[in-house]
Amino acid sequence: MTKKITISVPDDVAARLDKVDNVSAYLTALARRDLRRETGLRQLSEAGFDISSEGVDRARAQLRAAANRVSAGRRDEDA
Amino acid sequence: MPDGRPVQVVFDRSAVAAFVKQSLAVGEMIAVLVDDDVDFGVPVTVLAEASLAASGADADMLNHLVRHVAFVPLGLSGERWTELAAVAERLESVEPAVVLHTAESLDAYVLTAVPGDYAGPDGARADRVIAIEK
Repeated sequence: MTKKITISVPDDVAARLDKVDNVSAYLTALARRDLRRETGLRQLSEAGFDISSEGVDRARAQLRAAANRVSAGRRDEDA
Repeated sequence: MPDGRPVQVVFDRSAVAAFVKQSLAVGEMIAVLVDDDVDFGVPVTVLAEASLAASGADADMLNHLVRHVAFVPLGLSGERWTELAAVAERLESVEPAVVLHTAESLDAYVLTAVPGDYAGPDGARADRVIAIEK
């Protein structure tokens, strides 16, 4: 089921939306992503995790380091 | 890969156990994945082992894990058993091989509290292994 709505947006957002083929699908995807993020963080909180931005930065750095190792390994294999 | 979202991290049994014991480092990794709109997965054999070991509060935490919006159960492909066997030979153990092979198949990373389990005979740890910080 869908609902037709009218929205007002600032000029810069309107300019971005002008370049999108299907504005409804685009905004739906963005809203769903935001909702999923909100749900995912709430679920962690309900499970007893007190997530800090420093901790998130630390985990992101670990992911980036692993990605760099894998990329370097691929370069070595190709060389 | 529901909704076309990639699985970026595969948890092994030690990572699942760390989540169950409320390891903040594991929670923070999940928060990053949620933020990046990607998923994490656990091979079904690892889940089965974890659920055998979990009771009481641990079982509740395991339920939190499998109900998480970014969680995906990962099956094994029977067609690729020879690749799995090769990884198992390298690691000299099947369970970490299942996790590493799954991660390699998805171009994902392994989250573990026992990174040494992913070292080959030369002692070198697999590049895609992320050790859980204590």
